[in-house]
Amino acid sequence: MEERTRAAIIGVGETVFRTHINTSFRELAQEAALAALTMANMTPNDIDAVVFSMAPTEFMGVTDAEKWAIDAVGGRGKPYMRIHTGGATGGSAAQAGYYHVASGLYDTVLVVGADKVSETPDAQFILNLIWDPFFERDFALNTVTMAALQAMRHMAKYGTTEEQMAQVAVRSFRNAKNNPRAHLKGDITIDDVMASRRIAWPLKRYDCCPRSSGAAAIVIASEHVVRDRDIPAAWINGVGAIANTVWMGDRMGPRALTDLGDWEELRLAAATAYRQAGITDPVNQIDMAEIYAPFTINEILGVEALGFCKPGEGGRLSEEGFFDVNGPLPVNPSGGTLCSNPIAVTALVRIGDAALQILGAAGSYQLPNISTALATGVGGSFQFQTCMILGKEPV
Amino acid sequence: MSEAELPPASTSMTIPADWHIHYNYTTGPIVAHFLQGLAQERIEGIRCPGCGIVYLPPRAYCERDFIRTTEWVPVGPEGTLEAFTIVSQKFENLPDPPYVIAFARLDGADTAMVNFLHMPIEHVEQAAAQLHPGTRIRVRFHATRKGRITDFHYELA
Repeated sequence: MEERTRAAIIGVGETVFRTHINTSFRELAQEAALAALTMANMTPNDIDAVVFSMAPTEFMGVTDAEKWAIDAVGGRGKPYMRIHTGGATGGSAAQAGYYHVASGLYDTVLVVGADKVSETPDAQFILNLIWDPFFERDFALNTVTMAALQAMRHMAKYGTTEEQMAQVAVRSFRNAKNNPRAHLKGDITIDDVMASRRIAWPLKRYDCCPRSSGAAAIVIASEHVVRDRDIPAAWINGVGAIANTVWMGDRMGPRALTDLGDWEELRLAAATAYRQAGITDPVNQIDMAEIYAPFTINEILGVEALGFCKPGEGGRLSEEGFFDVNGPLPVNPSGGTLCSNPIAVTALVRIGDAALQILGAAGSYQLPNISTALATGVGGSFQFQTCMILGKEPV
Repeated sequence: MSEAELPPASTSMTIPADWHIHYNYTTGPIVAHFLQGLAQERIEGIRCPGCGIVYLPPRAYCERDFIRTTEWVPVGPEGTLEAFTIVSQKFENLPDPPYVIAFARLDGADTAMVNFLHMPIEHVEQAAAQLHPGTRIRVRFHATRKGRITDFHYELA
């Protein structure tokens, strides 16, 4: 850590997340970029480099859409790169932006992206194409069936119930009511979730995220920019990232190095971030978390992998209110990925929402007394994991 | 479009498009050997000479030791279920439900491979209750085979 330049998030921009937004991809990215720059009290001229957060562009039917947005986000004439790690894209893009500043090579970086997942009805077909064409693609693997496989393994190993997963949906929808940008929200009951349409056993409609369009951006600045401008900052105190095998079948059975049903890759990514941020007791040192959980089971797996509880306890603690907004460790007060999933920027939204909590700028879903916040991302067939720790003070 | 036909500036439009793209995927010799075996009702994993792990699907290098795999090993035809889901929702361009997606470790292999598990599905919950990690399954080859992974499916042993 001693060789790194300290860096902080000083601006966050998010659009609303909806199925249909009458705004083009370029305009969405621009809206988020301008919002983040405005919060940072900057113009595009103040930005040294741009990292574009862009997952599969087949959802929008435009190959390599990052080039389409260069001018719209103020990227012309600057270093500009696209980062893509599937669903983890926003987390990896934010880390790339952080590396730009931490390396000492750049003082100000805009990390921005947009997605219009709802421009195709074939999203799960496109997601099926991420699987191997010789062995796996023919068997209807997609992100929903992948999560169902995880849920089934967790249920078999620990006795986690469908009702416990339903409780995650109830809480997420309730939290999202406070977030004016959330896509899905409302008062639903466990019975509503249990009675919702079956999709892939054990997952039902309310266990699954929507296809959302929207955009997000953050501005990352070096310590001396933060000090010179005397501007509120959410310090990036730890980053971790882990990739795992593409083969889900390698993550099952006696010789597996990690188990698909335990999200052990996230545990490894978090361990790196925790070490950097000096976190040894996550429950007591972390004040809130934005966990990338597109399916209810992922939040239960996530709180366990992040060390908020022992493996197998996530469902029970969730039922007891441990992760409620007024509980000991609030998780996804924004409503989270379950309520809004603009894939290319979803993990960036997790970071943006965690930063807003640190900055006291989350508005109607602001939690009290947030000094340390955590945000995660996951992509591919649970292959890419990112974890970032933000703090009111730098470490 | 004449000026009179243009929508008001505050109204967005959508322009439809479709993609039809053709590809030819190169298998490499390891996958080709495996797929040609399927046509002859033969399933083989490949063993790492270092750690001894038998991979299925096969691959040219052990991804743990990073050394070349050398030995084809007959596996199956029975195996152990590791994970499953029962799909009851229709996804665009994917099969008509209901169907069971199953990962199973064939006997002699250390890793699990995915296929459809054919079984009666009258009630999803009842079908799910019959399946657990550890449930025994077997490979059923199809009468017509093309040297593709779809030349067989799983069924309950």
